[in-house]
Amino acid sequence: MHRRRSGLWWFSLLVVVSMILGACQPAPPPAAEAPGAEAPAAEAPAAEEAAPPEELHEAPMLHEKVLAGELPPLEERIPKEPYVIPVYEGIGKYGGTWRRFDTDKNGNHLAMAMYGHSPVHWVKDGLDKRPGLAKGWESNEDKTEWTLYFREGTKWSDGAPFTVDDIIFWWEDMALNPDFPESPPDWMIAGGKTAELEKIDDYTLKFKFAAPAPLFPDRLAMWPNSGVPDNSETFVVPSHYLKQFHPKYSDEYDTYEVFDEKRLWQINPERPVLNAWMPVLYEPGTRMVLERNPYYYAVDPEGNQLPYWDRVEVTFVEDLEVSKLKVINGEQEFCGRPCKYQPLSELSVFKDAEERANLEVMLWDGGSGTGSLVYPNYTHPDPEKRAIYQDKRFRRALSHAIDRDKIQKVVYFGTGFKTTGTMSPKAIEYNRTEEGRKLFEQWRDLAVDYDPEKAMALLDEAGVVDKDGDGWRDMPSGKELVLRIDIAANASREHTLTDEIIKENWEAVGLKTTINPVPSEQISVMQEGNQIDIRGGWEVGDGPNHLVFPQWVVPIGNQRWAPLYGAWYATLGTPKEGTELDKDPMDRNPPREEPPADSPIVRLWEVYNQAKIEPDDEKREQLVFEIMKIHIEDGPFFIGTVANIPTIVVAKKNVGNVPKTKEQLGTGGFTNPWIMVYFGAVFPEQFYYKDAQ
Amino acid sequence: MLSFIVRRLIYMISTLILISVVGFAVINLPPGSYLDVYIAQRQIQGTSTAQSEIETLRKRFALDQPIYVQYWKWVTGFVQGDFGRSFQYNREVKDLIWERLGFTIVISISTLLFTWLVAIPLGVYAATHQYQWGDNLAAVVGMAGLSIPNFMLALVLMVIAQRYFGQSVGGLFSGEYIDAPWSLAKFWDLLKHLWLPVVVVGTAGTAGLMRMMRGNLLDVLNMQYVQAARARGLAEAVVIWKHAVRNAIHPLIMLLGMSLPSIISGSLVVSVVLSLPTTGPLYFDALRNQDMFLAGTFLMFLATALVVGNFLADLLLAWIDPRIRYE
Amino acid sequence: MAQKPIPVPFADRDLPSGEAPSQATLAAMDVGRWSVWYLIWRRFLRNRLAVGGALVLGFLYLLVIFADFITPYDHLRVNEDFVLRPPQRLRFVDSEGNFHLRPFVYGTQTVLDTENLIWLHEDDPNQIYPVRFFVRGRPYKLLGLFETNIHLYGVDEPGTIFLLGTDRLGRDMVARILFGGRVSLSIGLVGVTLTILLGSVMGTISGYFGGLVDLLIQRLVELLMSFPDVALWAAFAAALPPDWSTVKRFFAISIILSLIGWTSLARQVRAKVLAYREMDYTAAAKAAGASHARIILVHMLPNALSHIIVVATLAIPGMILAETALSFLGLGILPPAVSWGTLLQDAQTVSVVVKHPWIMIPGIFVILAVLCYNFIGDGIRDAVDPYAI
Repeated sequence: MHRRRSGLWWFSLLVVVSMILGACQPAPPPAAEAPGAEAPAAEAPAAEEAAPPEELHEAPMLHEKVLAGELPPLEERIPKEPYVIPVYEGIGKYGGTWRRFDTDKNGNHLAMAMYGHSPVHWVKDGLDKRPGLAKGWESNEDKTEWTLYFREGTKWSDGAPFTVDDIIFWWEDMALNPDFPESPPDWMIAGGKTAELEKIDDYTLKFKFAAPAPLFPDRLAMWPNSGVPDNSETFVVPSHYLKQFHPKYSDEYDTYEVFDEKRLWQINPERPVLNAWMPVLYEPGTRMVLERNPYYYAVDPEGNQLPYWDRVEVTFVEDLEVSKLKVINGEQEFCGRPCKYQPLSELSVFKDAEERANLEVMLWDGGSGTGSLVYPNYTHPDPEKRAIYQDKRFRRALSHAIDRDKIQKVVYFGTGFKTTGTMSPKAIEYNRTEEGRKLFEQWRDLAVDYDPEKAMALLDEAGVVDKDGDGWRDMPSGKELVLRIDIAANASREHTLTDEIIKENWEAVGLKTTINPVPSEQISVMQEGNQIDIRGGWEVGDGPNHLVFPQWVVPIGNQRWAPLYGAWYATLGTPKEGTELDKDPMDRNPPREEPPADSPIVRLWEVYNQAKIEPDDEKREQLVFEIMKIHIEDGPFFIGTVANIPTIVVAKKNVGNVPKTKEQLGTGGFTNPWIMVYFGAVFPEQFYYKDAQ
Repeated sequence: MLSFIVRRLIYMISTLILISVVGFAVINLPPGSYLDVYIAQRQIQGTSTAQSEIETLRKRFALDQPIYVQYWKWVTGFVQGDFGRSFQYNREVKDLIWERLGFTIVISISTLLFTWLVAIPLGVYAATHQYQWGDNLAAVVGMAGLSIPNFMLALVLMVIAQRYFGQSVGGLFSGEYIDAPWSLAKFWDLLKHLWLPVVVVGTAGTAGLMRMMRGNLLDVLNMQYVQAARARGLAEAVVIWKHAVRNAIHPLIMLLGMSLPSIISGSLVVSVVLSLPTTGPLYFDALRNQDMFLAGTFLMFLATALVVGNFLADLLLAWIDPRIRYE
Repeated sequence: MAQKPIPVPFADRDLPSGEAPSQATLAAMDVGRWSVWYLIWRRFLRNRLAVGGALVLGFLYLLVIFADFITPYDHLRVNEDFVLRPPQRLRFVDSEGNFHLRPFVYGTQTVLDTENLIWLHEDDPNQIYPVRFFVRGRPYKLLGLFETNIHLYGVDEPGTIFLLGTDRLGRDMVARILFGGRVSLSIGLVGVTLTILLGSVMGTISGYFGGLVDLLIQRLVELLMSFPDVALWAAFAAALPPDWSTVKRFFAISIILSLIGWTSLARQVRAKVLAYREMDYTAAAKAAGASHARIILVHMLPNALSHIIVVATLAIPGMILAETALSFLGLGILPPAVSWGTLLQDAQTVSVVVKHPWIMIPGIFVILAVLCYNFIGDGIRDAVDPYAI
């Protein structure tokens, strides 16, 4: 066996502790590195990349296969410089099965727990990044060229070597391929042109951009890069396997349907992976079984090849209640993502089962910036309504009319904190400097007070008064005003309850409000067709910095609060720009409209365009502050309620290395946004059974 | 007989063709298409879909062609056994349905057996003890089963089973048995999981069947041949079971025919609540997401099952009851 | 032609005279004069289950019609301090053992358990709120006509009287159940009316005229019957324009529900009409020159009516249950509209079953309504059947 006893155990503890201490830079608190602040610019980040341990060990079940000649020895299977994953508590033991009950049939929850394909990993809730699949990166002075260094000797789960050819294959034969439905992601585009890839050697790849791309490593850390969400964001694919299905390389196929089916490991167990576990059995829509990947490139600080758990058994269940009953029956070792969807009202059920099923029930921060939000459609098709919605007094009135105390009490059981609606409070820009903190507080408190008097005064000022004496306020022209909150019919209870309270609040200040549940399939049709009146049933989860995913703060697409303007931005630089100008904005394809020159949207675009390509981190942060100031001055554009609600996380007591304290997690958790790759970001490969044999 | 069969066959086929047309139209009735669902899903996960991607997908799903072209492609494939590809899962429709069919049939047939095994004796008992307290009790119990909303009953039973009996609920097998070879223990495990859906779905069907049995039996018990059999000195049990029940059961066989589609689709609501890997939720999701070919194929399967079931029931009835043959 | 005198039996004999016939005998002799409907009514009354069901159902309808009179609370108002409060018991004896003639309820002490995220409400025996009847409360329009503000019961502020507890937003369950009952109990009626109309008309036409018309209608019926209904529901529910109000949605859902039910009624009516067509009175009417319409409306439909009523009554519980199922699937009436279906949706979590079971009480009302309709339907069917013992 591989177990270490006292002496070396203490030694490794020392190694771990010193690594963690080493990661805390003497830079200003919180113990964070701002993204891109790897200044001086040319160095790879030194955070938590200790020297590889001298001795390597593998799991017993693999060792048997090596002795039987079925597998090559460990040194040949993992890279020369394997990825060292620090452990939260201590070195673990091999053995055991992780059982999961996911409610997402497409395997998205599972993919979110596997960070293996990602070159860069976020750690500590996005406060820091460290190399993952890649062993380091560097850029030139103005961040137009980035070089990624990969680990020599990395292999796919079927033993074939991983090289940068896999990335080049993805780029040239998938993303740039017009016949294939994956398009180049926007972080590979700068200055209006797609990046160029240059292979330096098998494990070094250079990316050349036409304009500075300072966010490149951050974008690499976003999402697990394995087909989440929904078949996109792949970046690293097993080209040796997929080439046999690609029409360009194979005579058998001339369309991409089979290729598309084969390229996702969540539905195709034969596809080699770089994760800790590889699929061995898949019953579509029912279950999936994964086993230890003998070629996984990560080890723990003592040189034991990860993961500790031998198997993962995933069962797909339709219903949240069944998933819950499984957990409280003690059938799930660690419940992260599926439990995230359990509403807070169910916490008492989990707590009741703590003793009987030997569970530890925790609440980790969700990191939401808004809680359940509402946003009026800034580009409403009715010109009168649009005028009102664009009037900031009206939006402030809407916000002041909302009784957030009530919502916090009734819907969120007193957790979280009241907010007007911002990006996630865990965003780097809010926490790094005093200036950022102040701006965040200003934005958060912009219209957060429950003040119906003030709301009514603002409404009166905006000309929204009751003209016909029926008790409801009307539009300035006298036409009837009805606020219609559109939400998806299958929105969770959190949203429906909040919207009912909001409706009560708005009606108390004289605004007639209805709630309109729409079948979920239809709501995106409405959103893109600019038919939304006031959208509810959503939240801003995103962070950890404003620019990796700016859709909420800057309208760059038609999916948020200014569909027509956002769609206009999205068509800039594409062949559609400048066309269809004679048509009515709603008749264009896609419906889009240019905002007037004095609109705050135009200012937001200008600042954003600058920020995207600003190589200097300090200057970039200042530009983000500009964006925030525009929101403070002309906002709120989206109205939030209660921020940073916790989510439920359940682990069995005999599972070790689960982060539990705020320090271990970084900021206490950041489970909401998909880009944060929870729960892969807490590295389940180092979870283990404390009482394994 | 032969002309009857031939005529019915022609009717059946024409009905099925009509259903395929109407069904396809109904599936595409809601505005938008699967693409919009796809975009919405990606939106919820926080990403947008590029226009070029939408165009490529539109071409792949053939959504840019008019609907009758898509219908034609699908129908012609249908008769060859190619049911198209599902948009959502990007796999062949027939694979998807086939995988789930096994469990669905197991559950449905168990439910059918349960319903019949409970309803027939109860109905006979109620008929033979008419207006006594046994009859009333059976009526109330049967009715109660019919009146409880399925999903509520399923949830309550699930919670009781888990909390008070520590049972692992949901699915059809416990973790240990799911990959194990068949054995008595595995069969017992299956039964432990099967009782819940069977009871929930079965209680609803039992009442109706019981009442029908009771009604028919009451009618038959008034017939003269029953009196004659009693007069001949046959034991009461023999009179009831060998003579009366056999005749009273005919209309119930018609019901069997109509229950064929529910064998295939299973009970949708209960499957969703209990998270059973049956075809019902698959079908429902396909409809909601406008996954045209998956939903359409399902619809055709169900319609075919119903039509064939009716036909078989009629045949069976004609064979059992000579009177019908002469109609 | 000339009529021969009808012979009267025993006319040539003298029968012994006995006592004067009793009242019962005299009444029985009137039987010949009683209408069919009266006969049916008497038979119906003998079925205890059916009568019981009718009484309970009538009571339920009264409750929901006068919902705003009965409950002191608005079913939409959020009471943030009383989230998920267990039902308050009506008491007559207080904690010190004193008997009060007027029932009362205790006040509530509330504490939020921040560790388990659950509200703990305790009855506070120090706060006694006697129940007052015919109190003045929030204004409403009785039966939609009269402005008034009298409610059946209530307590003085700041007391509360949540007889069936409250839901997740602190809303009174009694109010929600009664107002929700308005929707659930009427959706069956609306749907069934459409079913009756469509089914009987189509069935009668098909059976009466026969030939091509019959063939076409029968094919249509077969088509609809073979059509899996889930598809219809899902498609139509999704196809409804998303900005329709709840009321419009409600009517649309009833129409959809009735589109499922009319086919079997049509078939049964057709079978009956086929039989009636061969009857002598039909031939006589035709010979007398009655128009088709008259024959159908005056001769056939009334005979089939009793059967139609039975089918209709037995179809209503199906519609009530279908409404709850549709809401569960997210296709029917959706929150924030209140119906028993949406209330049951709210109850569909483990925490409700284990910790707040009073949220499931609407289920009892559903069961009650469905049971009653079934018993009544059975009772009518037994009463109408001339061959039943």
